[in-house]
Amino acid sequence: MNTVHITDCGCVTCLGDSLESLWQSLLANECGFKPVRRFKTDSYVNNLAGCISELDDIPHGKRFGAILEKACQKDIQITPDAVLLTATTKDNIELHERYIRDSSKEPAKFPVCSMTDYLAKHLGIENPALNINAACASAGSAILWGAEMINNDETDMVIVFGADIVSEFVFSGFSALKVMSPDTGRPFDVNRNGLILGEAAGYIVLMSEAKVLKEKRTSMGKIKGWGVSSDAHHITAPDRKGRGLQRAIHSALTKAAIGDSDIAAINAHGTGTVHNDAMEITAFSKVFGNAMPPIFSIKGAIGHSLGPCGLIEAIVGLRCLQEQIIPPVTNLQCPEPEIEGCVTMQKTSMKGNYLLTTNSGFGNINTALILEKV
Amino acid sequence: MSSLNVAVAGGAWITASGIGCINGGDEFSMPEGDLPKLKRELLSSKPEERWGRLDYYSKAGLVAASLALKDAGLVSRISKSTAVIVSTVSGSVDVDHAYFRSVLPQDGLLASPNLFAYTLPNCMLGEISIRYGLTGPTMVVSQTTPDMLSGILAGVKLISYGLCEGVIAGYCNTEECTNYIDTSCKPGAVFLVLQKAKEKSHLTFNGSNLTFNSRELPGLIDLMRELTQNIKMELQ
Repeated sequence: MNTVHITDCGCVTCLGDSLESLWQSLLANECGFKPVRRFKTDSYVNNLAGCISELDDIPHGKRFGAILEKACQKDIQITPDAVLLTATTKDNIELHERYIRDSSKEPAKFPVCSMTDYLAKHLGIENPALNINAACASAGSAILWGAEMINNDETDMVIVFGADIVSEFVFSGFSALKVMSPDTGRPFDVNRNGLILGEAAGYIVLMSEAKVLKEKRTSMGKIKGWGVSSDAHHITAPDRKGRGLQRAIHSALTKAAIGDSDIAAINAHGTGTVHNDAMEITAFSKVFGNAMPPIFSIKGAIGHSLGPCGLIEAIVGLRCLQEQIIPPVTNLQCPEPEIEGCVTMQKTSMKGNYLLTTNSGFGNINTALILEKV
Repeated sequence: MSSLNVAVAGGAWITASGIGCINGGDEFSMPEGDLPKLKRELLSSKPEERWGRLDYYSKAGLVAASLALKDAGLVSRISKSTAVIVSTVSGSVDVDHAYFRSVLPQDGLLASPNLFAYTLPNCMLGEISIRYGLTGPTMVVSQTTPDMLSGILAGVKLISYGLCEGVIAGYCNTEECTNYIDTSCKPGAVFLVLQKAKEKSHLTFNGSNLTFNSRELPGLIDLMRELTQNIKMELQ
C-alpha cells in the first residue's frame, strides 16, 4: 500500500480565513453563528447561520465564486501535474435561484460544475478533474477517492477542494425539513434540537511518499485508512442502528491495519440533529464498546457546511493530532449520558497517533477516514 | 494500475428513442428529444409507495438501474456490497427549480420538504441502494465531457480499487443540455451492471480508458452499440 501524505491544507469558515484562526477559535470555544443578512429569514425556524461576514456584501450569484477566491488566496503548494477533485452539494445554486426568480431576464447557461472550472484554471491543472456529490459525505468521498488514486499509483498528487455557501435555497430546505434548530446547534447534547447551517471552503493536498521525497515537502500527516458504506435504509433519515457507519469505520480500520483501540479521538459528523447524533453514538458504541475514545464535533462552532464539512473536519483532525489537543464541542451543555465521559466539554489533551473522522449524508451514505500523526 | 477485465452482466436504457436492454437484443440509440413517460409498472406490478414522490430524474435512474439488474438476472441475487455510481450534467435541476418555485410565495413559508429531499442528485442512488439492499459506495460525478462515460469509468475504478465487488454504473440526464455550458450530452438514463471478469473479456479498463476488443471507446454511445451488437452476434 502506498503511503498517502497530507502536505498542505487550508480553509475559510465563519471563524476566519485560515485553519489557524479556526483552530484558535475552536480552542477558545467560540461560536461563529450570526443572523443571516443575505436573504429574509422571517418564515424560517431560525435566522442564524455560520456565514462568512464578507460574503454578505457580495452580490447574489457571485458568493460562491467569492468563497473559492478567498480559499485560494493562500499559495497552495501543488504542481501542475496534480489531479483535482472537488466536493460540493449545490455548487453555485444562486444562479438557479436567480433564474427562477426572473427567468425573463436572460437565457440561462449554467456551468455543469463552476467549482472545477474555476479551480482548474486558477490552479493551472490540466489533468481531467472530477466533482463528487455524495451529499454531506461529498468531501469524505473525494478524499478517499484521492487516497485510492495515490494508493493505486494513478497519480503522485491530488488536491481535494470542497465548498458550499449558505443560500436561501438550502436554508429554506433545512427549515422545511424541520431539522434546523430553532435556537442553536449543540451536537451530542441531550437537549439538541437540530442543526445550524454554515458555509466553508477548503482544500487538502495529498501526495505519495515518492513525491514528498522528490519535492522535498514536509508531511503534515497521513491518510491511513478509509471506508464508505450505504445504509440501504432511508433517503433523509439515518439507520438508527448505524450499521452503514459501522461498516465504513470497520473498512477504514482494516485498510489502516490498526485496531479500534488505536483510535485516539473521533471527529464525528455531529450535526446536532436528534437522529444523526443518536445514530453516531450507537455506531461508535458498537465499534468501540467500553473503550470509547474522546469524541467531538465542530458543527456547534461553524455550523453544517454540507459538501465541504468532511474536509474541514479532516484538517481540524490533523491539527488535533499535531497538537495532541481536542477542542471542546461548542454549545454543548448537557452531554448524552452514553458518551458523557467521552464528548469533550473543554479543551482536552489527547495521546495517540490515529484520529477517526466520519460523515453521513442524505442518500444514506457514510464515510470514515483515519488520519495518522507524523 | 493494471488492466482490469470487466464483465457486463446486463444493462438497460431510457432514451428519446425508447426503453431497452442489452440481453433483450434491443437496438441502442440516443437521439435528442423528449424522454418517454415512465409508468410505475416498469418497476413493479405492486403499488409503489414512493413512486409519486420521485422527480423524473429519480424515476429514470431507478427504472433504468432496475431494468439493468433484471437484464442481468440479478434482481434478487445482487451482491450487497455493490456500488451505485452515476454521472450527470444537470442532475436534479428540474426538482431544484420546482422546489425553489415553492419557496418564492410567502417568502419561504410554503417551501416543500418533499421536493427539497430530492434536490441532492445522489438521493436517486439512495433510492436504488434502498430498493435492492445495497451497502456499497454511492456517488454522483459531474459529467463535464461530451463522452457521457464518467460514471461508468468511476464505477470501474471502484471495482479496481477493491471498494466493491460490482457496480451499477451509468449516466442519467433528463434534459437536453442546451442550458449548460460546454456540453453536448444527450438526454437519457443508461445503467450497466459491471463486475470483475474472472477471465479475459471484451471490455477492459486500462486505468484511464475503456476498450472493447482492444478498440478504445470514445463514449457511452459507442460502448452501448458494441455491447448490443455483441449480444446480437452471440444470439445468432
